[in-house]
Amino acid sequence: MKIFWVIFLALLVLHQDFWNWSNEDVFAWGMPIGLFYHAFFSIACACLGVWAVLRAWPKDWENYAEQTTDEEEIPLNLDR
Amino acid sequence: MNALVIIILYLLVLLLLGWGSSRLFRGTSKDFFVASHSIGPFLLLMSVFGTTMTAFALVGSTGKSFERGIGTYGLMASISGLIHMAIFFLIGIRLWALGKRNGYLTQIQFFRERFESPRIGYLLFPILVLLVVPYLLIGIIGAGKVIEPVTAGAFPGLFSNPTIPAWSGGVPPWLTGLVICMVVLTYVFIGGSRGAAIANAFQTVVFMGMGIVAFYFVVQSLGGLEKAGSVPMRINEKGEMVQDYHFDKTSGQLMAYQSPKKIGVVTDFSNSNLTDKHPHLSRDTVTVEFKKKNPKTGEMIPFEREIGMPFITFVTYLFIPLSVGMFPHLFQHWLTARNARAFKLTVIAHPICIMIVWVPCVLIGSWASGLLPPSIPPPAVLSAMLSLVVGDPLLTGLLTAGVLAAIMSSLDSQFLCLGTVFTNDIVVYRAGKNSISDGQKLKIARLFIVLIVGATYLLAMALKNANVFDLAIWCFSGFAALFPLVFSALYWKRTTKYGAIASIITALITWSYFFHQSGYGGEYFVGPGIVPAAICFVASATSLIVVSLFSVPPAKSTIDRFFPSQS
Repeated sequence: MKIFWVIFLALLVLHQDFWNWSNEDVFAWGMPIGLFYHAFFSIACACLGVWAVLRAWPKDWENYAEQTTDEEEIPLNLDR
Repeated sequence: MNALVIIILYLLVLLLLGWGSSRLFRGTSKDFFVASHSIGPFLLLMSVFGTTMTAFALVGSTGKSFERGIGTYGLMASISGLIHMAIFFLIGIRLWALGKRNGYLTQIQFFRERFESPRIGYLLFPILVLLVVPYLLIGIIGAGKVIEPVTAGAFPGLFSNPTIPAWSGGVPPWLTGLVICMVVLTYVFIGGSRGAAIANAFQTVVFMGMGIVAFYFVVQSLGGLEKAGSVPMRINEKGEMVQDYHFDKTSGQLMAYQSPKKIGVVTDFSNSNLTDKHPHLSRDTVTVEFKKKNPKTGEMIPFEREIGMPFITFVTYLFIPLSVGMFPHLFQHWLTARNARAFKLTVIAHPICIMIVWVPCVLIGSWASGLLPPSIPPPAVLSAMLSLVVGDPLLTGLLTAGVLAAIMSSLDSQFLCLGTVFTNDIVVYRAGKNSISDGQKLKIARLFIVLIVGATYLLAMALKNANVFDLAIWCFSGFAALFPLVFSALYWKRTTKYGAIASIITALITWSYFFHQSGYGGEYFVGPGIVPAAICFVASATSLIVVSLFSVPPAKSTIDRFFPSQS
């Protein structure tokens, strides 16, 4: 999970691409670089999702949820 | 008329889907509220994506890009891809697991037990309703605004009192709102959350597909991507904002003006580096004075617009997408998941889905700045571009169906959610779980959904002239201000009941203050361009931490229950 947080924070920083702020050059497929960068950023987010699913999947939570069947759910028990 | 036929056909397909999903209904309240935890990966992705994307994804993104340029994508879309993905992974799966294990149907049930406080539900309930209702209004008002111009002239004898004279004969907003509400009500009423999930999936496919279709036809008409990229408005050597091209409808081609058409003046042209810049293609801020006609007097009146965006606004906007962590309707969608593995596709594909919908719309908006008059209302930019460069009523009808799909895929979840919250957190909670039968719960939920649809419709008609997209940002800001509550509930054992209550009250006070300062719904920034949600979030998180540290920690049994993997 630490790696997930490190990559997440790195992406947060990379999202503030001040180096492209004034650049209006067309990069590819008629897209200005500022838009192309952020479209690529979306793909990078999906890659982080792939990594999270493969390497940081919360198996313990999955097991916790599936320990009981629907019929055995713990009832709400607050005093009213 | 063609457009109207397509829209009617689309609504009929939705009703058919609602009927089909009702055949799968198991007749229990649990099936009605959370589809008996049976929704698989694809339906979960489509329903979650469809719910988080409103009409803003198609209409608003194009309009915002028309106003501010391509920075709109980074401001709202790419950051949402990152934050939403992280929330589904870090919060969605945990809430699903706790909800499935403990039998929760609503957020409030979770917070009541996590914070050992029945009263916290009564504090949260009106706040959540207060924030969801404007969100509902956005959909109903937005649908009315989309349909009337598209159907203008279709019924000249029937509808002779249009919003503006040019839309005479168009289907009026009251009728559109009524039909939309009835269709959504029908499939939610009979199919519950499974009906909503199936309809959402269909609608998400429709609005994603229509966005791509619209983009393809616009690009073709403008002569390809490279050519279209040179269309946005430009600053000339005199500091005038000019359009270099116009679209000739007769030949169906993009034509260059012999001498560029002046449409505005840069208010501060001391910086000569601006010459030949296309401000819509970067994020540098440039303030331009344009002129628009006063519809009553015919007089040309000046108005200013800031193109580009301040860096501080861009940075602080990241707090807005945190709102999805506190959407009560999204919580309910998470609970419909068959198992934790169903989340995998949503975690991976959500940022890509955002990209597929937003990139074409943002490009169309920036190109439109070089072809349409600057005074056109931003929500009308997408349909005006299609009408100008494509002009096919069939395509207009398909795109309108796409916009309605985006609107309705959020409306259904919100109506269902309010019915669920009211039934479980107020009625069942007050009466006691065992004193109301399962069948009675179903009846109460359905009755409340009917009432909330009716009340929302009447409210939407009373507020039909509101700027719906600015209102949307205020809803998101309110939910974002409450985000520390859900995050700390799952990740900080030391969070206490009093910390949670302090956080909710602080969020309410700060949000209400800024909402008042904005004139109840307008665009508003603090100081050099700070988004109010950022300040509300920090205040809410600070009060949660401080008050929690100074109050008695939760009982060990509560910690063991909500942090099972570490106990």
